[in-house]
Amino acid sequence: MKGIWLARLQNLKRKPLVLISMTVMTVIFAFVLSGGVGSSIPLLVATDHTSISQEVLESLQRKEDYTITVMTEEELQEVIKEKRDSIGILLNEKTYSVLADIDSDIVRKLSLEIESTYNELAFRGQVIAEAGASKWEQVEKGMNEEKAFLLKESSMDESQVFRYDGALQSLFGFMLYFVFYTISINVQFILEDKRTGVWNRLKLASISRFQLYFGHLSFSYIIGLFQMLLVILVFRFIIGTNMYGGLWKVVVISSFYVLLVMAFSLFIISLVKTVSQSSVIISLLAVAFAMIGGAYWPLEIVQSEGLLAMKWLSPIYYGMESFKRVTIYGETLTGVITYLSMMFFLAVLLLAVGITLLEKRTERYHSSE
Amino acid sequence: MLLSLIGKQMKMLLRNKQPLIILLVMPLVLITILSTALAGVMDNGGESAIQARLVILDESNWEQEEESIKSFIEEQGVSGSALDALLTQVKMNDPIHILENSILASKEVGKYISVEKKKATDLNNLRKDKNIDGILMIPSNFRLNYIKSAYFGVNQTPDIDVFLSQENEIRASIIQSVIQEWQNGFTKSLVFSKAGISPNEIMQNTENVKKIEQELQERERKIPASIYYTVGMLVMFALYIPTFLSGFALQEVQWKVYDRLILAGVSSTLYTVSIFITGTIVAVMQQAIILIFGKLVLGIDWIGAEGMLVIVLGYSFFIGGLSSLLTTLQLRTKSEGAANIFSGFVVSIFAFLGGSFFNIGDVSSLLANIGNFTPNGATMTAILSIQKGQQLEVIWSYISALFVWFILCVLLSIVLFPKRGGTS
Repeated sequence: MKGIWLARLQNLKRKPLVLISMTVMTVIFAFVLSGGVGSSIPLLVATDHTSISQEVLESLQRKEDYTITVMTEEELQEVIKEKRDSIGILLNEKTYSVLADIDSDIVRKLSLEIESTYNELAFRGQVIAEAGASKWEQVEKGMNEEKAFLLKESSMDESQVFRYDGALQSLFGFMLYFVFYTISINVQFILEDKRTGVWNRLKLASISRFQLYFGHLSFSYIIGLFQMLLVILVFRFIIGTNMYGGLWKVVVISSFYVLLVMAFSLFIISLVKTVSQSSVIISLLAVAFAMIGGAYWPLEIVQSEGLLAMKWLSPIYYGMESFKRVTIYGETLTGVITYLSMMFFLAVLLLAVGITLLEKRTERYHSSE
Repeated sequence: MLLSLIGKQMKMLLRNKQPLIILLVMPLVLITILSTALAGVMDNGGESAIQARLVILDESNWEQEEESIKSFIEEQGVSGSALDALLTQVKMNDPIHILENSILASKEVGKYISVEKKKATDLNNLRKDKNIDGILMIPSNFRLNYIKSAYFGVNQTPDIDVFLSQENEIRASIIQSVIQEWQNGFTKSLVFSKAGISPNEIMQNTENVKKIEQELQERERKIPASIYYTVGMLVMFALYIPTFLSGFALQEVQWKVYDRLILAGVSSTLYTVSIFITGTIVAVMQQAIILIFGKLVLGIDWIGAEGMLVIVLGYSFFIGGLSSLLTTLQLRTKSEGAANIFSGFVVSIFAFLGGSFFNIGDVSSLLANIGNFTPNGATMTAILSIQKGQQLEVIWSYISALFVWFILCVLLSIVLFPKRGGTS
């Protein structure tokens, strides 16, 4: 068993590029996509130079979510025609329009923001016109300080803290998605060893099957966990992501997630013949799992019931849900025990099925050769 | 000779089930799933399907509180007809009454929120109900306390508990914004009356801004989810063709078929050319099938035939070039490594950046710009521009990116091709 570890370590030393590049990619992607850098949405804005549209423009410029380029209306129409991704905004005195090809959540949120800015400005203008600027100050102060009644917002689930954090959601999503690949690639060594005949030679050298599997799987597990922890620690301590005091809980959940993904990859390689087949299938499954598990977008936007029910098939969903609960919503580990035990149970099941299938196939190989 | 080589490649593809499943069945299934699942998000008018469930728990009602309100107002020294008038006015402006009967009952809000009334004692059970998106809990003396603080300035500002579900943040946020708007309205009128401004004049004269829907140019249209994902999967799954073709080539080397071909006088260049042509043909066929599927099953109306033809052909040539490059790399390294890294990693990253999974420009413009330089991203953008109904000239910048990739693939496969046979 020590031998297997040494061999795998040696292999890693000779070809460290895949592991390193995957880890670096994970960090970069998760960083960029969770809003660390370059995430502010570029807007192309044209106004009709009335005071109201200028003020709306200024209030948009004050927001950190957007990077604003001001241009004339003709330029705007021209650019929008050519570039698919850009969002253009046309601000006039009494009307506005949002020019975008795809009616996404962002476009809708943006329309609402612009509309409420306009309405607030109109309201202010009306108060000043009716009662004068000094009254407006009084009204503004009253609006903020003297509510007619107070709303106490809290989470429906008593064990949760009421909080939204979209950035952390996408960080977790993309981390789980990319880590899925690296762990799977690690497990493929078993297939490689079987194909090249190393597996059989090791077996002849009277190494028990348990030692063989355990050696390979434990090594893959440790590498996968190491990589995942590295990513989490980089985010926590170097980039400074706020995990709401749930760091150690995140680590515990990661250890379950890595186990499940490893078991899953073992199951996949027990079904295919070659490494290239398994990498195609794994890459497709990783995408599918990320989609139905809510790594790319929050699951609530999915309306098809059938697709929603499929989330239980996705390892990423378990990881995602328990990560979110222990950090953003401040639950304890006992609160996510269902997810943890599901992950563990599935992992054991998949490992058992995977190893059985692999063993059966090896026997078949022997008899045919 | 070339024809029989191509025929051999096609037969190998057809006789293996796995390539056919991945190249044809997977994209068709994914297109169907994605375009139906996300149709509500991307298409116009679909949002009304999201209806949030709000439960109102009221520990009392106007009739119960009326007596105590009446006696409170009397204590303040109001009596007789003034008392009755005030009482009616207060009743008319009761926040709960307004919320239930005018705000939540309106057609606009009704589309997004369904309201139920339950008993306050059920609160603990209701909080556990996963199907409820929000609960409004009105405490027993709310009306009296509101009147005390709003009209007479005595007592503290009353409060209401709002419980919002975190299971479904979008629905909860709809409830949240409606309730906040409600609170805001009452705060406004309260502030007005304190400042001595007549609220009616302000409210009536304030003009609401109008949203003008984007004027589409003649022949232009918006991209619905079905077109978006059909194109996304089309460009992504074409990238798997080179993996399979180069995999077969490696198998032929391992089985010594390649050596026999060389012995039979087939030059290695001809062999690579045959892979290039096969890749191109398969890519054209795959894209044609997916486009026809979109038209027949999803009812997509593809427009701009000549533009589509240029793009599909260009992309197919690139796929052919990539097939020969991957084959070259495999023959040179004599391992599956290159194709593995390509199919497992490069395809996913490219598909991701190119926007096949979701419109990446929504998340990061930097990544979207990088994505437009990937061959599949450039192709996708070009097809979507054509489908928007734009003129042919907008696609040339994307086609040239594709062309650069094509040249790169061909040049690299010529430079890297093992000169002395694959197996020596």
